[in-house]
Amino acid sequence: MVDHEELRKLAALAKLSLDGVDEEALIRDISEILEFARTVEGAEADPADETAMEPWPLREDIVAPSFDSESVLKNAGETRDGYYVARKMGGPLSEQHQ
Amino acid sequence: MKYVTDMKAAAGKTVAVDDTILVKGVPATAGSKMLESFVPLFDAEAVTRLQSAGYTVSGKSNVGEFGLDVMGETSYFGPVTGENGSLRGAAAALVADGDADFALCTDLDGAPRRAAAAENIVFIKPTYGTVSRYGVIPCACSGEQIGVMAKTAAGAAELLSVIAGHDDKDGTSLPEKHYDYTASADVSGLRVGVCADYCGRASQETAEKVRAAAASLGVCEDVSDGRLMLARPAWRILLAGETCNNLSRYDGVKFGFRAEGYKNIDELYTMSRTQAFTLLTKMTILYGSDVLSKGRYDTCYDRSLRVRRVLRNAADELFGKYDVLAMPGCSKTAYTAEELGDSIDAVYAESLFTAFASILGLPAVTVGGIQLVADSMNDELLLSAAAALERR
Amino acid sequence: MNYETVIGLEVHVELATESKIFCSCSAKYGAEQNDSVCPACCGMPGMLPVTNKHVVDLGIMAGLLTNCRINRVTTFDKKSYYYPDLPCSYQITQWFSPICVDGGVEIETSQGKKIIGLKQIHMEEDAGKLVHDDWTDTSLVDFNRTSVPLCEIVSKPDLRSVEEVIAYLERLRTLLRFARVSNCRWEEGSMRCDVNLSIRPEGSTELGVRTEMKNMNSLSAIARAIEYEQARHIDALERGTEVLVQETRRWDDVKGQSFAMRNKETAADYRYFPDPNLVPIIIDDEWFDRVKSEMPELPEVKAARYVGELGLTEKDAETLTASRAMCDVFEAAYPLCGSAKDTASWLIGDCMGMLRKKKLTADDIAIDPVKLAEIIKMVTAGEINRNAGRRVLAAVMDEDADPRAYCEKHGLAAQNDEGAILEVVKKAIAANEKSVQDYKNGRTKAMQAIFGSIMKELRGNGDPQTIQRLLKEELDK
Repeated sequence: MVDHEELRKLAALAKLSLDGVDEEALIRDISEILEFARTVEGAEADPADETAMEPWPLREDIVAPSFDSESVLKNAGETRDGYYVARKMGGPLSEQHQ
Repeated sequence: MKYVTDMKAAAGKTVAVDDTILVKGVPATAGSKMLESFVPLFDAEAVTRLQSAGYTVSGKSNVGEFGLDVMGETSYFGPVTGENGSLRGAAAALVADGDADFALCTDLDGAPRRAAAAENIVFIKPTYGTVSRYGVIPCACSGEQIGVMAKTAAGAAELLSVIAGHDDKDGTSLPEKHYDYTASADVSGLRVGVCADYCGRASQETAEKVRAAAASLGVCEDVSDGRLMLARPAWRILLAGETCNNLSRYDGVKFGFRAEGYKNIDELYTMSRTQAFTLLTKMTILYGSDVLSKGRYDTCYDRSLRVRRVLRNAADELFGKYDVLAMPGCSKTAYTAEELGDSIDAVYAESLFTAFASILGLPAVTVGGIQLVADSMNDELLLSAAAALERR
Repeated sequence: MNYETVIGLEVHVELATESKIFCSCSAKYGAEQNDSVCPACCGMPGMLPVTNKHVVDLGIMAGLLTNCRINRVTTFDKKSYYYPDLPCSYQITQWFSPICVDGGVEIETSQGKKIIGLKQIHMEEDAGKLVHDDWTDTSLVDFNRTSVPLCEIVSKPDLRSVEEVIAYLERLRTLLRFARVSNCRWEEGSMRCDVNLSIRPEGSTELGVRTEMKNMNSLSAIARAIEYEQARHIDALERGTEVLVQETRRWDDVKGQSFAMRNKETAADYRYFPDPNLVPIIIDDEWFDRVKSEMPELPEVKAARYVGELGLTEKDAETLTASRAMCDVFEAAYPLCGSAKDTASWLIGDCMGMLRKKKLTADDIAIDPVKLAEIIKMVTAGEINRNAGRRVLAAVMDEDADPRAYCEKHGLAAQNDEGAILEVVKKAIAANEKSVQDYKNGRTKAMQAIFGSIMKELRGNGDPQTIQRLLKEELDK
């Protein structure tokens, strides 16, 4: 079961607003789907055997020409001096996460 | 609206490319307001290959938002409806109506398979790893594949042979460099398993179609295996978790829809995403966030990874006994956008039939309104069986 | 009450690769904003991550240098959170099975030797850089640094003092630089450190409330931050100045204080899961053995060998072994010219002097050891004098000139014929009556002027000691 509190936390993590959304219906839908997670609980699940996989050849450490800055930045809503602009820090993200 | 972007192409070998697959310089919307203005800087590998082989891209075909819905009904550009009001997948409609010879579609959760079934044409979702995912707008990377929509199985085999093969730019790409699916495999005496569990949850008409097709193909019998019913919940969990993660990059800063009137960066993210995604997409993101969260990861996501192994064992056993499995592609032959509502329940219902092939990356083909699934790397056999069905 | 400080460190180093970890953009420091980017490192959909093999090589090497156990099957996982310097809103890191675990680094302090345990080392991608524009109150984002490969080295909480912390960080730096895993430059951000600190009564085995500190950009800032935080914790416990909470704090070196950032209890749920685009990396015996064979002889072992077997002084050995590049040139050159002492002398004296003039360091040395050996041989054999040797050295270091050809072209052959030198000496004495008079009147320094003109006449090729001897003999006649 998912309650309103949890729903709000999920929405905050996913950067979605629940305004105008029927929260009850949402909770019901998510909870229903979560019920189905129980149907997989009974299955005898083997741990994944990673050594059985074919090793995939990795990439050599060679530099390939980058895409030019201008065309990359063209898609952005707002840029300045070759930087992307993320306007105004402040709000819950004032801290560094690294 | 079938084409999101129309490109004048010479007649002959024309290919419509779904808007979840990148064509350089042409907007790739993924059916979403979020990417309405997004212009890719490079071609998908499959597009490069088809162009090198002399095929031309005729336009970008409309898709449901990020390919998450039943048949395109959630597209920001509106669904495609037939004259009788029934829903049509845009790429399937283009091919069925002769507006394009082929289409390239991303099969994430079965939408192209359903669309082909509704039009009575062919769609093949090939074995996972045979076609490069470089240039696919990503959702659930562990299962989504580019497949080919065509009028006939032979046509599908032709284009698939062009686009399949190893690509260094895709870390899950299988080693084989070339595939030729055009040679016919011997399909006399095919052993066909009819998935009774799935047939029992489709309409009577559809179930009968499946059985008739199976019978005409070869020796057939009903198969019932409880494990097959695990595919849907496990795939829903994996799909939601991976999609939630892959969609988190859309935040209004680097490209795509950017909300106005925000006071700080947090509002920029939240307003842009809330305004530009449909309800189904938001639901998928929220659900995905939940199954990955600290308290639920073990019982949901990790468990589903393990169930994938259980399903792999089930597949090994089934394909030891049968060459192909026959099942519905979708529950019935036609839908309307109205009856699907906000799509959430409908997608859940329909994915029952397509999840098995999705979660294991098995090749699956829609032909004559039904679905055939074979074991990994047996795409040629599958296409030959489809061709045999067409002849009857 | 006496307290014990318990410290654990999380060190991030940028790996010395040419390209980034998951795409082929250049990983080099210093490009113009958003110049080393591709759709992948800018968060655009469609490109897939493909692992750079050399990153794994360096991860294994870091583990070998620190006595870790290498996980032969290692995977990449996604860590989700929102921040403007993270283009995809997730970072690819290693959560479930990091590449190295359970190691240790030996340090030496005034209290003696001690092993600092290592919990793990894992590979991950770096984020971009934020430039804050105060004028318009906006954040500007540069994605050049996104996806630059990092190793995160996590120690066990075995450190007990600032001295130990500095010793540990310097030892890590030496090891990683020597093995060319990272250039570990604090000022460039290719070495960064977060400090986890708690206090407990001496003798207690339970851990106190732990705070994490970020944003220390140099060793001295780390020292100051630890002193401050230690005091703040003790104050809180002894005098109740505040209630200690487990949290992350930001160090402000200008103000000399730490400030709370976020409470770790309600920290973001990172929702880790394995990246389906990156298949598990399987390090077989062949791969492991190859990296192991590339492990360098450690600096202290080298230094001991230089002193014991090659007869260098301890000081010279220490100077040489501070730089891997210098050692490489030294070890290649001395067998060719036959004298370790001469080679060391030329490297430490002349080569480093020339590097310093150009504001470069020992690590920047770029000279063909064969050519260096050639110069040394020519000087030893008396074919050219030391001054000429220095000129040739400069030409070799600047333009990779060929020593013999350069000497010929510029007429640097030593003038060793005493008869010829004597001729020039006599001429110079004849031409410099005043200086000769001054000398005879007791001003010995006047000899220098005559010496200078003799050298000039000989175009620098006379042996200074011979000239000096002959000149004195003539003057004293």
